[in-house]
Amino acid sequence: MIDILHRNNVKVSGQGVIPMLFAHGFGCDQSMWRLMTPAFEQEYKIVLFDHVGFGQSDLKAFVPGKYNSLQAYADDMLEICEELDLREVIFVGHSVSAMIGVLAAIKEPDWFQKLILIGPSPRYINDENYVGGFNAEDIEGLIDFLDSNYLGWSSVMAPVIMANPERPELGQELTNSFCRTNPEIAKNFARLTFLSDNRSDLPKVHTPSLVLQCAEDVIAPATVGEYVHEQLPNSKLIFMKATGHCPNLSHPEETIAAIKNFL
Amino acid sequence: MMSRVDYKEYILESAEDLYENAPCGYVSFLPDGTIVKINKTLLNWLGYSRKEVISKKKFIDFLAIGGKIFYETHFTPLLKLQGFANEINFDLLPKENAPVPVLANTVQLRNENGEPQMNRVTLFNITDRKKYEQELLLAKKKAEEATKVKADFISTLSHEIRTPMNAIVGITDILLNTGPTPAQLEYLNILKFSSESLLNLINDILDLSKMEAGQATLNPHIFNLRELVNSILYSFTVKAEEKNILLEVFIDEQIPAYINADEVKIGQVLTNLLGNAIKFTDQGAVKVSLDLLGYEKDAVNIHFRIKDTGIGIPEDKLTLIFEEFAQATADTEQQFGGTGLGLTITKRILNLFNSKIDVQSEPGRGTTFSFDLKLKIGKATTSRSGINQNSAMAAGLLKGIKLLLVEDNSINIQVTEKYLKDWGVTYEVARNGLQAISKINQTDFDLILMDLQMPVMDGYEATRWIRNLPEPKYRQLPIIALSASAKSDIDQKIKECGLTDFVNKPFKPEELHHKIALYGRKK
Repeated sequence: MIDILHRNNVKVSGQGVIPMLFAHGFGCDQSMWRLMTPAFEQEYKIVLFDHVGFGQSDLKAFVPGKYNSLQAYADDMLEICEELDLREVIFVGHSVSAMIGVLAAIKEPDWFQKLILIGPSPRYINDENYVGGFNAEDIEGLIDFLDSNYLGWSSVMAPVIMANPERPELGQELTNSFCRTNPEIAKNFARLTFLSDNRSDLPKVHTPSLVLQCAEDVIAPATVGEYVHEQLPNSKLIFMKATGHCPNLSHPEETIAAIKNFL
Repeated sequence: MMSRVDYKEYILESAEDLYENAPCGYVSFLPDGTIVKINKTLLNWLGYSRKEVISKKKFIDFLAIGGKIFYETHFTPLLKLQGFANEINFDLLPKENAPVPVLANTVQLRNENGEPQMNRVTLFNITDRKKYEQELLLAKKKAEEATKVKADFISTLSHEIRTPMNAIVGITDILLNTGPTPAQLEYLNILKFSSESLLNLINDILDLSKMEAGQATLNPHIFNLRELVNSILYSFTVKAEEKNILLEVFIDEQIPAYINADEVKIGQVLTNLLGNAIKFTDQGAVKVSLDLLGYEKDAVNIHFRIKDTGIGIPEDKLTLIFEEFAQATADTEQQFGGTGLGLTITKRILNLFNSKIDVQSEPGRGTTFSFDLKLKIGKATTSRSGINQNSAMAAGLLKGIKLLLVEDNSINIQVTEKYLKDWGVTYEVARNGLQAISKINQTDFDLILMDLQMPVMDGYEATRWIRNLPEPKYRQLPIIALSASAKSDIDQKIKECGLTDFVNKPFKPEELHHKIALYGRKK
């Protein structure tokens, strides 16, 4: 029997009953939610996890051949829901995990009550009559980039221990690593993410959804957010003031307010 | 004397100068990326004027698309979570020239509420370092390729040599049975001895090149350790009797009979050491002992020792003997023969088992080689323990079996035919895979011996064809591969195309006899 909670480094907290499941995107781990979760701890049960290959997930669980589609990551997430017996889940997914949440909600529609999609994109590469923001060579550029940072990664992404005199409350967490990734797994995930095309999945979702679209987001431009909103039958779109691709980190208050409003 | 005022100005000016003209690039940008400060060095690298950059460009604007994605997905979150990010390799895009690879060390400055106010980046130009890095990577790749080419070359060459050796060894055996004159008998024995030595040398080289290329792996299966030791010992009894030395064996009774390990490699080690011991001993005894060291969960630790009363090895040569092609003295080869590869291979095989060989020796009194192996205990299976060689070769056992020999090499056909005739096997010969298929359409064979490398249609292709014929009996028809390639190299292909079993060329008559009996006689 696989220990799913260990595999995905699952962390449960909060005083509420209704579960909020937070899924991190490409490039980070569950620590990217740390500015958001305190706002929901009183009312909800907070479930955090790391995708296999990221953060403190069990690297041994990365079986070659298993993780060759985003569906595999969606299935991992459903296994977490099953293990913790989560129902009526409020799903919060960032970046590629927004799409992973969509895939999970299609497979088990009854388990999810709401989907909150931060910076989602069903396809990153431009296509006929579709602007994803990238062309195929750009993605090769990213893979090259990841290759050239291969040596750097071992030091940059490795555990960092530091004190933080200005914000002692963060000290504890800072002794852990942030966004630790295995370079090979990250490259695989990059390919899966940026070569995925989940446009045809969007109309299959009937769960009420919120799309949060940032300004000046290189990874998921505004046109993509609009497209997702058009294709998702039961969705609401909010354009945020926040710039960049990680409003949960750069503009947590605005992000929290938008989510609370929706809930 | 400088006045105090001058002095201060001098410091201020030099701080400014240090910032602007430092050998590294400095850039400060707001949390949204807008650049608010940049030094001359970086502007020179980028080929922009200060006016074009300040408040007009964002840091991300100077990154190629891959870097942009990394910046948004990795760099920004890391900076926010950690307050700094060191040694990130970016390629900056200058106005005109080729991209400049840099290492970026970034600190995030925050106000008392912990809100990010500014990011300050120090950039090291690593253009040269990058070049070296790429050259190093290239050199590494080339070196690895060269090793592989060497291993492949040796492997191919060995296979090529093994095929004609098959003919030489086989024909020599046949000639020995034709009633030669005493002089001819002597020459034939030398021919037999030399060709067998050559074959051993080729096999040793092949083993060694595999181990050097890191291709050698352990292939464990369950076998009877006692039987293995005894059969190896048995194979040396003739030699030991010739030299009139005593051959003894001791196996601790508590050592389990069945072991799950690589039988072939353990056998190789024992054969090498025992062969040496007998070769270098002229009087006295050679003793093999297996002592139990202890049990460990599902494994057993065994101490193997091969002790002789031979010529011994001088102390200063004790390490030398494990080197390739080295022997204790220069005239060892003339006196005793051998390739000088045996102990090298033995040592490397033991490495695979995470074990080390130990040697104790005293010139004139003898040598003891020993090593410890931790081996998994195996459960006894229904004995596949082989061939009772005396009865297996019994005449008449194979009589009436209808066999098809598929082989393109005339000498190999001649050698194989000789044995088939002796054994009373009824056979036909096909020269390639295509001929084989047309033959089996005419005759109902019990068994096919299939060479793998053939013109027109090779053995793999032919086997696939036969397996795909409509009649179900062709799925059952035993097809035994005959090949000079090492089995482990082609194992996968053999299974895929549906071959039943495998016999190495040059074949041992007993083995071929056994396989024909095993598969051909089941009616």
